[in-house]
Amino acid sequence: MDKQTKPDSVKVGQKPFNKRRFAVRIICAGITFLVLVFSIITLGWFTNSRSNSAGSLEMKAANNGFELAAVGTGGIYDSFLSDREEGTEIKTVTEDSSEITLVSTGGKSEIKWVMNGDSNIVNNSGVSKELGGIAPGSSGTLTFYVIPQQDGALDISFSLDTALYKAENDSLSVIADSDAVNDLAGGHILFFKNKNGNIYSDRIDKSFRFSRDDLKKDVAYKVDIYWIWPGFADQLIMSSGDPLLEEKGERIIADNDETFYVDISENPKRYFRDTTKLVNIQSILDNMKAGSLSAGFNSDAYEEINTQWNEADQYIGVSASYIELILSVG
Amino acid sequence: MENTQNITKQKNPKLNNKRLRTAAIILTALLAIAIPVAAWFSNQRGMVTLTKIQSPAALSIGAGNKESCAYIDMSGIDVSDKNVTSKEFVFSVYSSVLGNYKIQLAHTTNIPFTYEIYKASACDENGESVENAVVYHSKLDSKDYYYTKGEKITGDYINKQDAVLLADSTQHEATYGEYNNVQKNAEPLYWQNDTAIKAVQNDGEGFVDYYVLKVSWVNGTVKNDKETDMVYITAGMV
Repeated sequence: MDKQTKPDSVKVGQKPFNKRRFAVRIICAGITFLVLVFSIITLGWFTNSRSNSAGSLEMKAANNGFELAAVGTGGIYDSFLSDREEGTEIKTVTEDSSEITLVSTGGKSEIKWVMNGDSNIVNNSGVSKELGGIAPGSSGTLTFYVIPQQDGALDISFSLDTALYKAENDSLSVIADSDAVNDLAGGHILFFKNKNGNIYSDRIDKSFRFSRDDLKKDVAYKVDIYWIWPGFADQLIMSSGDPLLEEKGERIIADNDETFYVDISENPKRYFRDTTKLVNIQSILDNMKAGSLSAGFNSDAYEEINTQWNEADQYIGVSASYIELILSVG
Repeated sequence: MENTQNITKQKNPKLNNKRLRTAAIILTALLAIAIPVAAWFSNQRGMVTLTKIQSPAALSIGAGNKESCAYIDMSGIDVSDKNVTSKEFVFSVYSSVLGNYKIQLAHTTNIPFTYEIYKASACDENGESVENAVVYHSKLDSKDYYYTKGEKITGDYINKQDAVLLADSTQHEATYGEYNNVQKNAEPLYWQNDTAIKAVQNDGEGFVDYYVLKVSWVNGTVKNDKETDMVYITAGMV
């Protein structure tokens, strides 16, 4: 009797109804959850499939597993990368069947990229810490290897990102993305997929693809990246053979390669310190392209474009002490 | 009855808490599974390296008219005219920052030339002093720029033998390291001015100082015989 008069008794009276509904909900949630987990695993199995052809219904794996690796030892400035993991040393063969010892990601998501005399950004062992590093006029090659974990095709989209740091009292602080120096470094410290003689091509602007069929499991496939910090704007904008260019150096891009004419015109802030002094950049570029021997050559604009390029170099050098290069997938 | 119905419509706080707790547990479990699965999907791999960005030289050496040092052209000194015993070249030292600096000169000694550096100042091409001025011909705009020669910059060689125009061995290692098979005239002489030069602000954009490098010779001691020397002009903040 007492129970019925107490408010609690009403709750007790409602309990069986709510309990059932709640139980149904839990069961539904559980089934949904299991279906979800199962579907993820199933999809994952498809994605990671090694060879799953089933008659006419062939399913091709979008991307098999792989590791990244490089030859050499730690870079001379790696003490600043102490929070990054070391790679795992492995022995395998290259595409041309020669044996090779590599330092591999070995299942880790990110490791320190090892360097050697042929593959470096002037940070390989043997270079002194004082004299190492890059400056306008520097260039070189960076090499890494892709090691498939299954036979078959790989189509990988690599990101090649940079981060700039300022050194203060032996510690590095990252320079904010919003700082103009990041843009300038992107336009001055250049990466390419190909190099023929002294001519670079296929610029890597933050990303590039590695796409190959018929890869063999555990074979190391070599990928080269060519980097250069051109000393002069002329090397990108003056046509080869121009006397003003030849006074200083060589053009580094094929004459018919429009990559830089387009990007400089669209994003002058990546190349020049004070773009307000280069009004109508497109016409300046056209004028430079026509050459210093042409009748309408604008020597003032030529001087200004070189000055602003050099000021950009100066600004990079004064603002940033270190540059980090991050090769990543995923 | 009325009372009971009213209460039925009210939400039960205890039950609500239970549901919330269950939902939280399920979501956490999902998240815990989803994170490794997503990472596994993307097959995340990466490598990182770091290098130094060398600080730019705060000082620049340029030609006349603050043009690139690529335009300092000392080639083709003609010594055949007996009335001419010197030739002068304009160069500049400039920077976006102010500071004191010293000028240094290094040269090999194949030709018995004497090198002297004079302070110079730009002068108007229509001015009176143009006649005695040193001319810099710009390849960029094909104009002539005139500079009046001022006082001589004093300094000393740090490795010159007393009586002859040859270097002693004191700077050999700094130049060639352990390599010893060096012809005596290829051993460069190093000269540095003795008092630091104080840069003076120019139009609010750092400074630019002009100099004249005078190359002179004694009549008859030098021939046009294709002999060459390397000459380096450097400047360093002190």
